[in-house]
Amino acid sequence: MSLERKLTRAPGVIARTIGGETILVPVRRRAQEMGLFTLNETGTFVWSRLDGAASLAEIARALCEAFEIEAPAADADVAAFAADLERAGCAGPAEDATAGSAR
Amino acid sequence: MNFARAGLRDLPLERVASTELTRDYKRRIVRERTPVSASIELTYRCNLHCGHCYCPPGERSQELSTAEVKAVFDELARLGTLFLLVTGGDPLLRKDFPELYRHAKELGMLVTVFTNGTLIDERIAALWRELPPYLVEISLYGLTREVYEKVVAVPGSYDRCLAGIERVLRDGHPLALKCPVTRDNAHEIPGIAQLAKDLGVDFRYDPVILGTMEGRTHTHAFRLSPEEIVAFEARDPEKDRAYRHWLADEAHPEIPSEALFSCGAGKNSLHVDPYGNVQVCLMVKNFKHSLRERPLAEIYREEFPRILSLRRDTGSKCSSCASRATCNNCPGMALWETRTNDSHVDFLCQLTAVREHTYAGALSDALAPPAGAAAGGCGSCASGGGCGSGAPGLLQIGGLE
Repeated sequence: MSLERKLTRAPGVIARTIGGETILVPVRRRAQEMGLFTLNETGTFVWSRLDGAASLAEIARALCEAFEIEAPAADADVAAFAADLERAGCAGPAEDATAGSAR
Repeated sequence: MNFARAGLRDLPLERVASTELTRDYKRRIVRERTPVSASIELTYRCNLHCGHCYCPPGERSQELSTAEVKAVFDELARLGTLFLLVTGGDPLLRKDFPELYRHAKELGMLVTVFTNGTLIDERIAALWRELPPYLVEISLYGLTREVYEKVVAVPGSYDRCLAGIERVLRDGHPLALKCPVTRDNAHEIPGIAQLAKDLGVDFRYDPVILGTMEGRTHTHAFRLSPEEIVAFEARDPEKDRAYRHWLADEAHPEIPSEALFSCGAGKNSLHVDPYGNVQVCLMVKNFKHSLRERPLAEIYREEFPRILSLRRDTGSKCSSCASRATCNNCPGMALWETRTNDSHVDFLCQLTAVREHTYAGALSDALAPPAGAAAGGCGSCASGGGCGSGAPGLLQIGGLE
């Protein structure tokens, strides 16, 4: 996935923090079909920045600074994570999104 | 840098089944006392008039307002509730149900709705297509129109119930059917079970009809006798097998602790009644605190530990009963039947005795009576704390999982 892409959180996917974990809960799809997704600390960091304004490259740079991760590794992992989110229906291209209701 | 600990490469996006979530986080959730499950009765009112119903008539003027219910949902979301059961009465009878349901969904809760199904019209169907429920449970009180409408005492309701079921199935929502077993519909339970099987949905029935939550006993006239219940269950191969396993085989039940609440009530869950009273479970109505007087979170954090620390009455008939581990009595059932939380319930004593007589080959060896208790001296005794102890297939009102 190109790091120049800008993704936004899918409308209708809510991030809840329960028991210290971030859980992505579908609102407009069945939980039994889409599943629930848990994010770890860095996953949550990336998720919170998928606002349609920041590119994946910018998010990767922020990740480098926050978690002292080498840039090449951060780039690769942010791209892979974004692809995972998109495949799961939790994020999409910014231009396709309506109001991001994730919080 | 500790990249591994940061964990981005360590499966940052992990898919878990919703039913596994509470297991995965159980330790942390238990430690933090997160109320991951909550239930709310939106109303006691209902458009059906079942003689066996345990609900009071319902005072609309006292019910939580739309704003108050939404504030409850906001607070539950802040506290960490993921599974929300919306029940009644029939919750769809509230005109603001769509607004309340939408609010709960948009807070990211997995919402289960208990309903009689007759009010699931195209407007509700459209709402649920947009915002799918986690589960819809519909009470189907009879297989035929004649029996169904005898139980619910409302002409025309049978067709509306079936139409509701069809809409839920048509739109592909998770559906379960359930039915209380009464003198009027017992003979149709196998047919309902077969219908559920044909539809590919879960079905459960509950043969224990209690008094009402206000302690009235007119409902007793509708229930089977203990002997009839055990004979009825014995004709259900699945339930018969479950009881044989539970009572007589390798799964000897554990004797409940001395805590009044030895089930899971209030530990990681709470219940709110239509009038804003916060309780440890739907059934236990005598320990309640109004969220109109105190914040819900404060009640949950400060009052629930006190309630859950209560001990059972060691002088009660149940406390020395040899059958307490196999009895389904609980503080809620006892309250509805006797107006106390730890009294024995004659009907459950008798039911337990008949079940043990029917199934318990090895039970007497497995469960020695407590010191000082006459063996079998409590043949008609029911013990508290049976709720959640493993009895197969029993309805646990207010439970989510």
